[in-house]
Amino acid sequence: MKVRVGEPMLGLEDAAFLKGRGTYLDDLPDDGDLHLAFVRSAAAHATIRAIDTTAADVIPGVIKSFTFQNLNARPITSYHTEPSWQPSVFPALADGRVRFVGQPIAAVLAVDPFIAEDAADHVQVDYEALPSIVDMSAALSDGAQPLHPGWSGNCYAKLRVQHGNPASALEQAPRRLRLRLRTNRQLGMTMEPRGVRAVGRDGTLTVHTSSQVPQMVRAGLARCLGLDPVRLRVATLDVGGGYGVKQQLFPEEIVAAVAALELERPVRWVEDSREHLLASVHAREQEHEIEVGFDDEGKVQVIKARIYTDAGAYSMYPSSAALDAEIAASSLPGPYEIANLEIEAFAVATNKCPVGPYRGVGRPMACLSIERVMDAIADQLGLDRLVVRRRNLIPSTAFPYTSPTGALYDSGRYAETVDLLRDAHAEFLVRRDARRSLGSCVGVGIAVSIEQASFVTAHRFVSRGVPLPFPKEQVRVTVERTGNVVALLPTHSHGQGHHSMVAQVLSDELGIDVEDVQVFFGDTAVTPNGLGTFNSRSVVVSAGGALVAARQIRQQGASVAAEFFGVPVERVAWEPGGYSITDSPGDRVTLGGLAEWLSGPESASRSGGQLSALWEYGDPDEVGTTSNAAHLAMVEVDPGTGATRVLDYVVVEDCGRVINPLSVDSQIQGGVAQGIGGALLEELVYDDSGQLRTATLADYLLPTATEVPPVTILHRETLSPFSANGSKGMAEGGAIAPGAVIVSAIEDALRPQARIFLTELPVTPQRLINALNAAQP
Amino acid sequence: MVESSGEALISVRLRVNGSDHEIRVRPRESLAEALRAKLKLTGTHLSCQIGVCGACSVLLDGDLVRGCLILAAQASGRDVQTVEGLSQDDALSEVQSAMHEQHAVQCGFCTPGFVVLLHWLRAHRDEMDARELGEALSSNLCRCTGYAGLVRAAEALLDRRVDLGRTDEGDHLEPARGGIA
Repeated sequence: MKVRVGEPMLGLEDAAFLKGRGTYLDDLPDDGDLHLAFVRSAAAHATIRAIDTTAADVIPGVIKSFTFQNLNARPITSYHTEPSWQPSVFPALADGRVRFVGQPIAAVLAVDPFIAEDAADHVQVDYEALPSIVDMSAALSDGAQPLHPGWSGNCYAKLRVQHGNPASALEQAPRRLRLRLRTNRQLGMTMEPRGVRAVGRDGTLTVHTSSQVPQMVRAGLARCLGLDPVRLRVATLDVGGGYGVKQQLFPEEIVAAVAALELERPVRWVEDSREHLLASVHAREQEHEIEVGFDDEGKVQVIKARIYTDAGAYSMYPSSAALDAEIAASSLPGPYEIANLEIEAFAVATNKCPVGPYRGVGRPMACLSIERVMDAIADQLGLDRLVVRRRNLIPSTAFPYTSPTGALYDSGRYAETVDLLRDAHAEFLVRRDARRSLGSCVGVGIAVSIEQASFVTAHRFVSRGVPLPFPKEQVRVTVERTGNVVALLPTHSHGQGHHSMVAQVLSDELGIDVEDVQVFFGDTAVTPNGLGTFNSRSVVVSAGGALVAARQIRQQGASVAAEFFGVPVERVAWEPGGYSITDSPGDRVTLGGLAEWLSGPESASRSGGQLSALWEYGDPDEVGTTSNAAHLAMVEVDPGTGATRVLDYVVVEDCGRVINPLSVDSQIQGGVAQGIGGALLEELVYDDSGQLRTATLADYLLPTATEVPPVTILHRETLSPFSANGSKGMAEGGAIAPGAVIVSAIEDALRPQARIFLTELPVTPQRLINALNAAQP
Repeated sequence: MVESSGEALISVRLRVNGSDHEIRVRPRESLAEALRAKLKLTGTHLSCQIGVCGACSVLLDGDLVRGCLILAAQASGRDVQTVEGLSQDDALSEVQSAMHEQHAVQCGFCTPGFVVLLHWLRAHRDEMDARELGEALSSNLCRCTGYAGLVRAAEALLDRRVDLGRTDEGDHLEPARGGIA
């Protein structure tokens, strides 16, 4: 089947998954595997006086137990170039001090997982409690003890960005307003647990892990083990969701690797969902203090912000504890043109689970802030919320546009994106009013968002000191003698359907069947030079790279075909799948036929013997792409219980060239679902002593089918001048705007009875009731 | 035989996907764990392991159950169907085709659970109204797709509207009830 770019294509990956024939980490056959179980800290902050593994070690079936004393591994190092950076030292097993509940202290290795878990319960840990710091204000208060030795205060990083003259602009602004906003802790919560299986032999190691970034895990793990990366292969199998969670090197991977090297037996660990909730990585927890100056038309002249991220107890590798703060700061102005800006951002250490990226990374909180600003201005001036946004959007003529934070946006027609929402908005208002007349509390909200994507390169990590063994990522496309085309990708697919995406691109460019494309990724033995997937980068890096490589192959092929036909290259004509001779259409050769001919004796000296092209990604000045969207929601609120239900949802988005509309829509729908979870349901709650009170999926609530409406999705295509294929990364965007749009809609729903202004996510029933109780009728 | 942790193993007879098996399991071993470890039926996935997510859904004597909440020992003498038993070698089943055609698959980890759920829903569609179908569909979690494809697949398969409780659509006009469903 040949498929053109832009046509809907069903997933090539689906059939195996639908039949239960996917191979995830824990589906690997047990080949006499040893199983790890971890002893995790019960204390948020404590000195460990003693660890006694004796009672575990004597249990039959226990092979060995590990503590920091007999674990031969360096701690996890995180890297940053920010001058204010204070690194943490994160040992795979705690070395005398624990800083969050769930931190690994010891590990027990046994012949089966039941014995390992039982034995872990017999490890005695003697804690001496230290005062725990569970919120940012305590961490930043005068006299707070630094959580890490040698630190000054409790910030991993303090970032600052300024543009224009914010102080005088604020002073001279006709109008001003201040907001304080909070997003609570949330996490990616993949359906497939984290897991690792390591096999050691003669000082070499093969590690299968459920990761989005196997190549970066390899670099970090090699460093922690003191192992030459050449002796370490890291590979993934099918990976059941990532969303940013599986973008780290985890302590458990280090322990499994050490054990496998030492014992020369396969070592396996698969977490349970409590471990995922306690000790994977969290995200999102931020407070924003915002001050804006604006004019009587609602045009924002200046924004000042202080952004606080609760970054938890340690900085992860390769992302850092500063990531959420950095991205929130750089994307705060969003789609709006703001002349003057001052942002300070703080990544604060607390006695909570470390943070990492989660779909959107800082952008959902930035979007909440700037969209709350737009709503507040509209309210203050008595203007329509859509009109105020329209007046502040970056004009289409301004691209490429440099944001006052320094971010470079490639292209866009933001006003047209918003205008495409007008009809749906008008319809929603009619439906709202109809429902209101029946006595329901229904409201409509809008939000506009951008997603700067695909800008993270190997160079960016290397310049921070991350020990990546390669300077650039590589896409390789090769035509085999059979006519099959093999693509090696530097990114990683864990639900995004990269096999389908690249097959579609190659089918379109080379005129071959999608079934004839083979795609490999995620194995450092096959695709060593790659960063994996995050930052919505794969459409630019892998689909873009495959397109460029395919074009090169067509050029190579034309020369080879000229030799094959014995005619000048000018007489060679491309036709889908191969070449013919101009004016002699009967003479035809396929790409596979040329590859076959190239491998034979007649052509042995020519063209290097194969049709193959390599594309490299990662110029130091790479800026990536920026897609944009406008979201519209209708919600119904029960003012008696505080419950909110999302009734309908529309997204207009512009991610440049759409390769497969089914995939783009599916990414948006999935992103919106996570955004709805973040807006209404999902919250990791710590008590005052630093215990996580939401350590099961019965407490941490994920959206189900009844909480997520089918999203109506409209597309614009403003091609990116910066990417090879005109496409822009978009897969996080769906999760960025829902918080902002839903709070706006909730306020509108309650407007007939109360004026409230919501400033905290998620809007749980209790929070909404509290807001209503505090509101003036 | 006594396992090294002192736990006596239990002999369990199961009819799984039409074949009879006798396996030895720990008393505390869940049905899903036993299917995966003892019978190598790894299509039944374990995620939350407390009965919330439904990734481990199997049919037990035709009933939809969480494989993580049923002990293997409890299933002794009973008939189990897993996703493997609901699949053919070559073509996709009707349920699987509907999910494929509605683009209801991303990472694939929750997928077998939804295949089992939709098989069960199809068998019981006439016993449920549209609202109950919606509630039933909400019993499994998917973190990738946002459910739209799964809902479309269910509607195509059942040839019925699935009411997800959004009060402004269709005939369901009562105001939102308390709590979040």
